Amino acid sequence: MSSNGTNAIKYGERGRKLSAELIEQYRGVQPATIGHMPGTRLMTWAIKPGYRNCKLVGQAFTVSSFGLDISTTSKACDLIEAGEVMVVDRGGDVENACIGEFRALAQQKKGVAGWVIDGASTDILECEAMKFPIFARTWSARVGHPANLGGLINLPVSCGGVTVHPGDLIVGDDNGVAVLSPDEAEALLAKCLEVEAREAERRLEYQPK
Amino acid sequence: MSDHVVRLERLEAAKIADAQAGFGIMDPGIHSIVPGVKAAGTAFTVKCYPGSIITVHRALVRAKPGDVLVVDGEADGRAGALMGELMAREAIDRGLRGIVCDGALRDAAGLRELGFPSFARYVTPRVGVNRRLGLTEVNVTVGGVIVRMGDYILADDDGVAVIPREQIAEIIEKVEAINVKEQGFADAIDRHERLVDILGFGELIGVK
Repeated sequence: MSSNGTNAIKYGERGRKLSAELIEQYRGVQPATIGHMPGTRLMTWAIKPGYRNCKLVGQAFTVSSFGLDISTTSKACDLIEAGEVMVVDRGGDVENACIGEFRALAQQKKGVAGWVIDGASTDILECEAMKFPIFARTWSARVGHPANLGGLINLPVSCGGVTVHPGDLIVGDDNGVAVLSPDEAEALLAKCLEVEAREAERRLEYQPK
Repeated sequence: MSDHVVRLERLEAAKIADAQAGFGIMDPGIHSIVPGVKAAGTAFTVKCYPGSIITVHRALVRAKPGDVLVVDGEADGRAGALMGELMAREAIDRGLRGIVCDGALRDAAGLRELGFPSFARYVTPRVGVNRRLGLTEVNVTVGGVIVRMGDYILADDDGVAVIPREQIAEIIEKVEAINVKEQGFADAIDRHERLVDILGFGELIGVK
C-alpha cells in the first residue's frame, strides 16, 4: 500500500519459529485430520497441488501482490529462507502466473519447502518433474510482469479463503491445505498424532488375515 | 460517532482504492443490496460456518454502536442467509451501521425499506440454520481481504473498501487531497479541456 506517493512494499515480521522436530512430526499428519479439530483453518478445495502424492509442511512466509504485478513476489524470493513456505495472495488474480520452472528450481535449490498461491502458477509438468510442491488455484500460460505496484511481505494475507499470518504452520497434501498458528500447532500435535495412529490401527482391521 | 467515521462517511470507496494503490478492496462479487446507501464504521468481525446464522445473532448482541458487521460466510450462498429483515431492524436499533457479508442475505425488499446498508455476495430466500456456533472478534478473510476488529469499512455502490485501523488518519487525509485535485480536473473538463492533456497521457497513447 502506498504511504508516500510511491507504491512501496510494506514489511512485517516473521512469526515465532517452531522447533524443527515439531515441523517434522507434522509430516505424519494429514490436513484432513487437522480439519477434525474445531476452529482450525482449511483453505478452499480450489487450492490444489500440481501433482499427486504431494506433501508440504513448513512455516508461512507471506506475500500479497496485486494483479499482474510480480515484483513483490520476486523480492520475496530473495528474502524467504530454507524450510519456509511461500504463501501468496494475488488479490483475486487467476490469470498471471507468479512462479514457473526456473523460479521453482531456484527456490528448491535454496531449500524452500514449497509455495501456496491464491492465484496462478505455470510450467506444471516441469514443477511436477522436479517435485517442487506448488499448490495453486490454477495453472496458466500467461505470466505476470514486474510493475512495482507495491505489496505486503510478512503481514497477514488472505489465501484460499482463510487468513494466513507469517509463521503459521502450513500442512498441505492432495486433499487440501490446513493452516495452524504456532500455538495451535503445539497444542494440537499430540491429538493429531493420536488420531493418525488410531486410523492406522483401524486400517489394519480391514486387511485380509 | 468518531471524528474519523464522520470524515470517512463523506468519502467514496473508489477514492479509498486510489489512496491504497488498489489494496484493501473486496472481491466485486460483494455488492450493495440497498442501492444508494453507504456503510461507514468500524469492523466487528464474524466467522460463520456456511449458512449458520447463529454466530451473527451473537455478533448483534456483542457489537457496539458505530460498528459494521463484517461476516466471513465462506463465500457460500446455498446453505442459507446470514441476516434478514428482523435482524437488520435490531441492528439499526442497536446503532450498527451496516453489514458486509461474504455469503448470503435475505429479505432484500425489507432491507431496502429499512435503508440498512447491506453488502453481500448473494441474496437467497432460504434462511440459515442455528447449527454450529462460529467465532466473533477474530481476524477474518472477507471478499479476499483481511479484516481485523476495529479496521475501518467504507462501502458504497462501487463496493467495499477496508482501511487498516493504524492508517485511517493518513488515508482520510490522502483521499481529501485526491478530492481537491480531482475537483480541479472536473473544472478543467467543464472548461472543455481533455483528460489526456490534464493527466499528461498524450505521448503514451500517441495523441497530440
